[in-house]
Formats: sequence, C-alpha cells, structure tokens
Amino acid sequence: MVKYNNTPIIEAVCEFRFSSDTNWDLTTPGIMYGEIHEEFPHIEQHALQDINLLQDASVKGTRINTTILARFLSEDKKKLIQVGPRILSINRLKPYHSWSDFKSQINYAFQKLNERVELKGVQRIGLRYVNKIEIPTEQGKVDLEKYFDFRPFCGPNLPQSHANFIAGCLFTYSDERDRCQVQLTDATPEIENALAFLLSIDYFLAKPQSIPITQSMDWIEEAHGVVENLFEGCILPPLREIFCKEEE
Amino acid sequence: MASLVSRPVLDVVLGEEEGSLVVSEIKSHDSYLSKPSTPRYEIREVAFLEQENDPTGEESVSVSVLIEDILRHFRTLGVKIVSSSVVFEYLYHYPEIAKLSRDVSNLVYQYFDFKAQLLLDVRDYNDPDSAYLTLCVRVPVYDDSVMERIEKIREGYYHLLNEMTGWFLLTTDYIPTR
Repeated sequence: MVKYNNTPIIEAVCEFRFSSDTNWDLTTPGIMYGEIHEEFPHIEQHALQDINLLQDASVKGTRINTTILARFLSEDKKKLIQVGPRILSINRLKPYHSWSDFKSQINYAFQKLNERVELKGVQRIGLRYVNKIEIPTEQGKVDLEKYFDFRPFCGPNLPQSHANFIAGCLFTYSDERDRCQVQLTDATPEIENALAFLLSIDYFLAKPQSIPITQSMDWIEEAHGVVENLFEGCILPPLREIFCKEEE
Repeated sequence: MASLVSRPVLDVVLGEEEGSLVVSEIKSHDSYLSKPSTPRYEIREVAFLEQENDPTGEESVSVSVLIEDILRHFRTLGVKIVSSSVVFEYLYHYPEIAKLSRDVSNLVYQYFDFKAQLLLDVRDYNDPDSAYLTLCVRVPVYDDSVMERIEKIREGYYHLLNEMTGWFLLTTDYIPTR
C-alpha cells in the first residue's frame, strides 16, 4: 500500500442500497440515530434531487425525482452517516487518515443498522474516493501529460486550450459483476497560481443482489484494493512527489 | 412517501402528491424581470424515488462533488471567491447554504445584467457560531433600484433559511464595478 503525507483525498464514501424486500419505514432513520447519537450528535436533512428538463417554444417541463436523506454528523462534522429509503451512506471528509479508520466507520454504521433492521439483500454498494489535486502552474498552464496517465486527449486538429473538461471511463471487473467509474474534471483551486483537478473513482456492485449481504464487508475490502490500484494507475511520478510519497 | 417532504428547501414540490403532474403559467409580475412575448407554461411531475432498479447509471452520493460542482458553477458565472479557503470551509460545512447561494447567484443575473460582478465571502469567520456567507453584488452605477432588486431576491429565499443551519446574505458594498 502506497502512503502519502499530503494525500489528495477530500472525501471517501461507502454507500449501500438495500433490496426492496428489506423492511424500511419512516422510523428507521430515528432508530438509527438512537443507536449512533453519541458519536454522531448533529442532524441535518438532505434532499437528493434529480431534475430532468424538457423544453420547447412554449412549454417548459420538469421531472423532479427526490430522495430524502437524514444526515448524522460527528462533532467536527467531518464524519457523516446518511440514512434514506433503504440507503445507508458513510462519508469521511478531509482529513482522511487511513483505510483502516474509514473501514471501521463503515463497519460501525453497517452493524448498527443491521442490529435494528433485517437487511435482506444488497442492490448496490459503492466505494468512492474523491481526490482534489492542485498543481502549481508553469506560465499559467499545467501539462496534464506530465502528471496524469488518465486524461482527456484532443487531437492536433482540435483546439488545445479549453475552459472546462470532463474525462471519464467505466471499467468492468469480476465478470461484469462490478464496475468502476473513473472521472477526471477541472476544479476550483484553493491556492494561488495553481490549477485544480478532481479525480473521482467510484467502484460499485453493478449486478443487484449478486453477493450475499454477509459478504458486504469482504466486497468492500476488495473494492478498496481496486480503487487504490486505479488511483496509482491514473497518476505519474511528478504527482507522487506533490503528494509526498512516504519512503518504504 | 410525500409526507417525508418537510423542508422549505423543497418548495418546488411542497404540497404536491407523488406522481402528480402540475401545469402552471409562468407569470412575471416583477418589473425588474424581462417579460416574454408569448405565455410560457411549466409542467412539473413529482416523483419520490425509493429504489432504482438499475444501479449502473447512479453514483455514490458525495458531498465534495456537490460542493465542487457548485464552485465550478460560480467559476463559470465569473463569481469572485474572496478568501477562498474560508469560503471553501464554509460551503463544506453547510452544503444546503452552498446550494442556496448557487440558486441565488442565478437569480441575480436575471435581476441585474451580466455587467454585475459577484463576490462570495464569509463574514465573521473568527466566530464559527456567527459566521455567514455573503454574495455581494457590484454594478457600474448605483441608484435606488439596486437595493430594491436585492430586497426582491432576498424575499424569495429568506424563508428557506429558517430550516437550514448556517446563514446567507445577498448584499452590496456600493463599490462600482471597474
């Protein structure tokens, strides 16, 4: 395992979506809060909205899909457990300390829910790492080829300067049971004279209920290994220097 | 499921049943907004999702990606972020305020034109309990209508703040844009 002193991870997310035969009602978030309120004392509510727009000359149409999540936060608001309709999401915002630390947070939330709700099956599990990478500019520019092995490519007949970009790929694993979405986009820099990039790696179970619920934590361990390898595959040595790779 | 919706932040769907189709004419009684020559209608279909059958099109919900998307939106609009590390910290702490400030920034450009300059900052950041996010509007020339327009926009969002943690203020410092 490669360790970086200056890790670019700004968020790690582990999200479970349970199968529709899992009994779930309006009291479930409250029951969960009763179990975890000592470590996660703050409560917020968050609406996930997926808005689709349809437009013609005289009619504007909108379809709004809404999911409400109860969000429980630790005292410093850096650790989150979110509970929605058959959804359990565990988030760790920066500073991200270690995989073992985050895994124990996942295990804690999963076990607490499992003690109070009979979880029948898992529709989807996702393990996502979001990295924000800031690179000092040279004459106002950053040469992506120097830092990334995963990047957008614009041929010689295309403009070579762009305001924004998104480069993405969906990789398949374990006979297409799992998939991993890797996406590199531009981002907003926090330091002066730098450009910023967001590298998101989201490994997920693509075939619903293809693993028993009892194997969820094993699946997550395996997913973490893939995410780590993909991250290393996306970056080049000059970035490792920026992240201050620890000597082995 | 409709009873789950209890936040004004979801004003757009409040009082509407799941699956309902709502058609309404878009009316503008506001003299500061431009009037379309033909009537425009809005259709809203309200759906509360419990479970998607196909997980391949979804992604694991990330707070940071939401905030970074909002920051990208500000960048596209040319909003200047003053003392960026403090603003970033605030937005990560209060994602609902971040979404609100994004929506308000869009409104500002409807009430003012693109000559308006927007600055995002955090005031009183030394005291975490009283710190709040500000979006400051600057225009080339100030008259009475500037504050009237700001008040109109504030009327549209102030009630939403009651249900949120954190605070957000649209304001001006009366400095002319250069």
